Amino acid sequence: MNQEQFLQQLMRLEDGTIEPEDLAQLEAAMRQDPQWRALFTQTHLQTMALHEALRSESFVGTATPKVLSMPKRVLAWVRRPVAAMSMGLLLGLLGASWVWSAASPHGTSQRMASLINGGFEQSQPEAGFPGQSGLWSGDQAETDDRQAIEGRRSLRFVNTGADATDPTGRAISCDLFQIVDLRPLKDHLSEDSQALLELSASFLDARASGSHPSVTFTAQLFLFSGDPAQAKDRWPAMGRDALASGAAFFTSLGGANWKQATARCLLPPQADYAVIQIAARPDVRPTKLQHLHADDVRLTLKTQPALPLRVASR
Amino acid sequence: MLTTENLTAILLAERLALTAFFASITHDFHLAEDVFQEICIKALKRSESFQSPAHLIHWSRLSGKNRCIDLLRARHGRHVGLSPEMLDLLAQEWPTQEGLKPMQRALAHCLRQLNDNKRGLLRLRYFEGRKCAEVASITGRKIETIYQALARLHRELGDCIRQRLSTPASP
Repeated sequence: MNQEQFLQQLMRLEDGTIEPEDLAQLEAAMRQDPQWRALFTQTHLQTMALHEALRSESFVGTATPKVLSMPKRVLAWVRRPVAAMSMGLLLGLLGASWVWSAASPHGTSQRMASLINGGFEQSQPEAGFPGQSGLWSGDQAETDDRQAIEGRRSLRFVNTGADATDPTGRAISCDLFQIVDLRPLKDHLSEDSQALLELSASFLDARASGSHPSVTFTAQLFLFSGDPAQAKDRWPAMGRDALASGAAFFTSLGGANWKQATARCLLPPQADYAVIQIAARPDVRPTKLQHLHADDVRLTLKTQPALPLRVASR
Repeated sequence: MLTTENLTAILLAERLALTAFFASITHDFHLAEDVFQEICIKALKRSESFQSPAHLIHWSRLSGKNRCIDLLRARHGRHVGLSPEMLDLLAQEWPTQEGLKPMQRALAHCLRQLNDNKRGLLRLRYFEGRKCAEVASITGRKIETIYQALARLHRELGDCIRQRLSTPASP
């Protein structure tokens, strides 16, 4: 077996199409010669790095000035009913109450950090990267009452755009952002608590099944230290300075079914705020975005068990 | 014994290397990332048992390997891939994150050198996560051609990365 044959078998193994006898031959070669194990390792590290580089390139680094003329409306803060938060912490940002839960049956306590307007019921998104926490802002998008998986409205992606701070970039996706200030959490997490942030979003490609081009929906979160007010001027370049990040995405050809994407990310103790990003990216451009929706965006904080049940106000 | 803070820092620093190992078993980036997060939580729950960073990393690989196989069996009824013994051997030899940052920077440089066709192929396979049969259908090529092209692209990128890393002036 030469190097090219070995790599082709690896491609089949990754693709799930390798024949049993070829797999046995591949494994025998790897058992006998450490050079093949080294090539296996190097190829998989390269593959993972490729995945991350392409993801980063698509959703952080390349973008162009936005042309947006969205009407600004008074932002109404959403307060999810406490009853709906039977398991979890409602982190009502900018002045609300907190409800802490007991451990979940799975042994991991869950608390919910409510994104403001996660169901897109209350206000239209604004234009450009958000300058403050608690509001949706980004490329051209609007709330829509024709489709919803939660409540009566959803977000409809309208047009691709790009980042004002990157005049050389291309408009490849329609991105909406929300900054979530995590600093209020710090006082309420014990020194040795361990936490995981989980971002979930439901997406709908309401085009007919088999529609082209394909569209990739993404839910992504980045965690940063520092002042969230400075993020507006530093995005998207600051993505590279993220303390941690998580992403989930899927590609759709229509079919009119809601599908959820869930991204997870360990919460480092230094994290001061999170940038939440949801996006729809047509895989052929330019394309007018039609019938693409997002709804029910949630940010959940999961911690270790044995949290006391308590209610705190601020 | 590792503190919680140390443990968190080590796991975050090792994220790429660990998820690459898990993805070599699952052949699914998202599943690999999910396993990484599960392993983080599991490790944090038993943080007092880790004597050193090497201990933590080795435990993470083996624990993650087992979790990957369990998940694949739950989803597909079986695990088709390298044997658990071979995966254990790979786990012992798998590199740590050290040295991966320069590799990632070199890869970014090398990606920019590729033409649009090659980048498009990589994007379909490694960003959109499409099966090679789908890639073949989209690009109007035979699936064998896709395997060949991907294998050659990996070799080309590997050569480019090595050359880039051996050039003293390269960032």
